[in-house]
Amino acid sequence: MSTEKASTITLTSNDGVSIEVDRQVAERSMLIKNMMEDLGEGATATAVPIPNVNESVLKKVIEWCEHHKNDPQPAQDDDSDSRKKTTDIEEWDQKFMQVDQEMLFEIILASNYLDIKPLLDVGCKTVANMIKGKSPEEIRKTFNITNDFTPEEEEQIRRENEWAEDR
Amino acid sequence: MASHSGLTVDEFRLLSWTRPELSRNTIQPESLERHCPLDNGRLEGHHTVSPSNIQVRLFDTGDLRALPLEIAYLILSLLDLRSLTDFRAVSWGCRALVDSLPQYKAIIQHAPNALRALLSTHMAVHFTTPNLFEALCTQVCFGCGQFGPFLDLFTCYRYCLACVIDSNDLLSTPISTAKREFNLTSRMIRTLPTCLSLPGQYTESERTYQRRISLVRVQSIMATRTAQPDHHALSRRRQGQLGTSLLQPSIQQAPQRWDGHGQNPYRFMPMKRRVRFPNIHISHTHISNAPISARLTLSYCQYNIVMAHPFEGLGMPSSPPASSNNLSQALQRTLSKGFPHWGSFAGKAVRATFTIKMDGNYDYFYTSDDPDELFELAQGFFEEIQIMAAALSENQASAYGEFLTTAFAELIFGSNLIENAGLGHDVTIRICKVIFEGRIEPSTIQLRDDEYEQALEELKLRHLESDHSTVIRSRAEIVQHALALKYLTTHMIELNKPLSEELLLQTHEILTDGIDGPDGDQSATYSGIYRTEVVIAGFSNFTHPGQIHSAMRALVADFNNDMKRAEEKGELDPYYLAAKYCHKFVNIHPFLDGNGRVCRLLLNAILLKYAGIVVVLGEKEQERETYLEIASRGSMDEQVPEDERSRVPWGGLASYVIKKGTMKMEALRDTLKMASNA
Repeated sequence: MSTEKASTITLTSNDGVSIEVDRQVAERSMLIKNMMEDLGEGATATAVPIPNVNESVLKKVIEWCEHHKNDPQPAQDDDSDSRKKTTDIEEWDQKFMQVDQEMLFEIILASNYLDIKPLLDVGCKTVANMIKGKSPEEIRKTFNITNDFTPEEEEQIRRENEWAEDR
Repeated sequence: MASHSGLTVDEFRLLSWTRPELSRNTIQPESLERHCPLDNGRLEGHHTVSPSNIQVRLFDTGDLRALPLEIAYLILSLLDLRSLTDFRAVSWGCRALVDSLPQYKAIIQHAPNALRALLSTHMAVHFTTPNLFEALCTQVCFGCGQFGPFLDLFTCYRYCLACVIDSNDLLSTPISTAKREFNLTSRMIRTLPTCLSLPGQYTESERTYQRRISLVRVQSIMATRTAQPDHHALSRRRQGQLGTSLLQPSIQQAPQRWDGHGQNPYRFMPMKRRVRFPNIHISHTHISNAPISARLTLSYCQYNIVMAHPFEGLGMPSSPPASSNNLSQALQRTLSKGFPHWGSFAGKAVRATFTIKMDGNYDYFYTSDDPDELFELAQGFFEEIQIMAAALSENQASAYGEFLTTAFAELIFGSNLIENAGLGHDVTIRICKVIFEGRIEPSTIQLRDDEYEQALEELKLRHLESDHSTVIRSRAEIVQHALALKYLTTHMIELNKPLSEELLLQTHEILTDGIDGPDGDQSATYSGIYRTEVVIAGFSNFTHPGQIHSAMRALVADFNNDMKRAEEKGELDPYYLAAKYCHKFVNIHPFLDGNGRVCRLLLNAILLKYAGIVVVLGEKEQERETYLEIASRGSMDEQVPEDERSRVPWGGLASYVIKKGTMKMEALRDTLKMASNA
């Protein structure tokens, strides 16, 4: 078991850069893990192309997998209870996610593609925290959204979605 | 909605003074709708743009466009409902995105008032869309596992009336009281979840609490005291994040002397009552091509997903701590306190003793059997059973539980058949037993393929619509009937509650929850509510809507007086009493629909409490006809003015009940004898 896990595999990003990683680290990705299981031992020799992810993002994702390589695998039915889901993020992950917005979205898309659920969760929580408790105007600034409501519509939405005192 | 008598609703309310409907005591839907209308679905109307424009708008979510829809949904599901509402105000695109979120869509469609209540009381910052959706999809009280019609805004869990009134976990208090009673600083108060009350009436008195009051949960004060000092709590709360530990009911605490329970308005302020959520069906057109098993799975799959492990990982029991979730076991427990379980009326814990003595008003003309002889026979069996019950083996106790649950299931089948409701015998028995066992959430009980096919056949035979939605409805008629029986018997027998209007209203509410009335009345408009329309059936002129409140009040008072008198004398006739109040109830006919089923539930609850058995009525076509004939004769007799009557109108029913009761007594004696030999 341990000798098998010590082996490495090579991942190739879509801009042609090859990165060698421990197999245990790479297998945080369910996509890669399932693929290696299907292909058998011989497959470790060939580089694995990751067509949707560029070098900088791939490196970032590998950095996360490296840090979390010993985490237990998430259970399959982890979604069953919404009460467990908070938007709290552990400290290391918070620092890890301090990147520009483009990179954040790239990480989310890469983790979705590579099927790394815990990383996808961290990414989604980070975006959720960028929205939480913000005014619509602040959210517009954060995500470059144009306000296409008329002032009257905006006022109506605001008024109708909170308790209006008797006048 | 003017009633047929020409009274306006307000006049009607005024004339029918006391209202036991406790919905008056919780947050009122009319004021929610007025003060927090929600813009959903209304803004589009006066914003007419060309279709091409809409296309552009729908996708204008700025940088978020980079994320595929399923990831956008993941993110939105993590947002608390306040933030989600604010996010809708960012742009047309964001609004459309939120509005398309499936769980949000279901909430807006079926229970917008739950969302209104959370937003209006400022509790929306603590809960996400899935939190609310899951609470709406269950029917059970989080505290005790009974039917839970209240949504507690502090925890976003469902609770029943008994818990709302008595549970320590649900005691709320104004901040000023909390500061005084618990010596809290303002700084500590700021870390607690605060619910801002809404103007309304929250006690039996007519007093309106106009000023909005900030409430805190006593339970969360206790939690902050015992918890390790949490330096992050304050900052987390500022970000609007859920401080889970502060909202979870877990700490035991002593009752507070200033708590008025049912009279404490602060217990009702954070409660939204009558939150309904229908079984969510996938539209038939989408799934008609799927095989039957897939179709049914689809109808319920949403429940299965959300219900799988509701409390896992919170350090809570994996199912609500149900005192009596298993009906059979609960009844066995009561049996250990004597057969039947006669609780005393005066002192709750005291056991009353009665001699069963025959009342003189049986109708001798009806049956071929002599009620006197039957009564004596029944009495013989009864005494034999009582002797056996005094030294009961474990085997016998479980045989009694099994005997009763089977009888319950049979009586539900018969009672449904009388009303041309429900489904076939075998499937009814199976569903009822699953519910009485109380292990699974009733909404997840599915029909098997063969049962589904049979159901379609049977509906055809009964000249009803033979389609998917009718099967679903008929299944609901069984499920709700079983839940209603469980509710009524648990309260009257196991918990030894006196008969009350609230108990009957609640039973009716459970019986008809989510099932539309005969003329397509939505269940929300008649379920657990006295009717406001005049109803005439055959010769019978049922009680005028204006008098239902007083008639029901009188019925409950009469019954409780009868019991008090019986207790003083130490004598009663359970068969006669059961028939009397069943008859009286059905001739008041207080509800728009479901009166027959409730009257038979009442009959059997009384029998079970005072004779230890139940009777099955209408389980065969011939029995059904006999029962209906007796009932209609009783109703005709009821039309005769009281001083001109030659016989009591329920005499015939009483004779029928004693006949059926004698048979059941004998069967029970035989069952117990067999179990003792085994």
